Amino acid sequence: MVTNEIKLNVKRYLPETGEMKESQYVVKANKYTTVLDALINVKEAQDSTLSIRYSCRMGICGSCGMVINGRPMLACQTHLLSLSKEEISVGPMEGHPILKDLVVDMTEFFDKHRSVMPWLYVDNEEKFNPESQYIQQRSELDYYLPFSYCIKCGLCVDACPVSNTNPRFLGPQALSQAYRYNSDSRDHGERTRLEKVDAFDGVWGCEYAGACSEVCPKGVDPALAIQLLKLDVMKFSFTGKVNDRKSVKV
Amino acid sequence: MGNWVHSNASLVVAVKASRVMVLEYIAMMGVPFLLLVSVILVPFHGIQYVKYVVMALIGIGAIMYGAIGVKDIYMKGENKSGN
Repeated sequence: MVTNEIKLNVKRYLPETGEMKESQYVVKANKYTTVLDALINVKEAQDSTLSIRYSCRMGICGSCGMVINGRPMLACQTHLLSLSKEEISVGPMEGHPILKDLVVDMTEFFDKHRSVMPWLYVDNEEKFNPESQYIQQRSELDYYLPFSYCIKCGLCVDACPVSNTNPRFLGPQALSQAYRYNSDSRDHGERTRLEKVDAFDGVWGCEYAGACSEVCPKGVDPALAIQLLKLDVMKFSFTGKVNDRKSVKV
Repeated sequence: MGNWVHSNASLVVAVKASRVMVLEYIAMMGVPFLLLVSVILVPFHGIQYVKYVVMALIGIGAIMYGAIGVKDIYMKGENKSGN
């Protein structure tokens, strides 16, 4: 199998001194080698001080988000040779606080995610004394399915120009998940969520740059979800009604 | 909004943002539309009163859009200094 030598320029942050520096490593890559494979190889064979975060290695866990050649991507889903360059730059997601090297602090990201109640909210008797199954039709599933593929990798927030300039902005991930749960026919938390996101730093902070949808590795379209959420917020604010047609037309 | 993350901006708590944003959207779409209407009305000489009303609406819309824009700039400037 053909192997190439690729130079990997890794942007590193050293918390002890607070400085950013760049280290260059040379790795061998074939057509199957991902950026994550290369970084693991560097850590195992060349520089054990390099800090990276990863888990599943197959684009499911969302742990290995980083900026590769200036674009937020999952390292495990990016093949080195597909980048068509002999030198590849890798850096941490700078839209999140950096802990060390390529590892970022996701605390605030998950706080914002949690604030939109990303679960099926049921506040009636059904919660404690369920009498029937939550049967969902295919058309009802299809209504929110595209937005349910989010793996919480944080790439959308890293790419979002508003999140990068306004730390109070809820961000595309949390807002798209607010829409995802509002669109679920089993959920009864729409009013609470719509009241929460109806803020300048909530849904109205989005300026529709669309970068979130460009970088999403799972094909979720957070920009679309936010615009649909804006319509729902507007409807709720002026009529007090929530979207009760939670199914696609068949 | 007690459990709202980063809700220290008093404006966020005091004003329901959608009430302001609807004005912004109306102004954003209404002013260009009324400008087009005013251009169409130019050759008609007997409807000066209608022209004045359209001009007034354009003025109000432009001022409203500008005021909301200033609010936006103020909020973003505040956020930037908080970084």
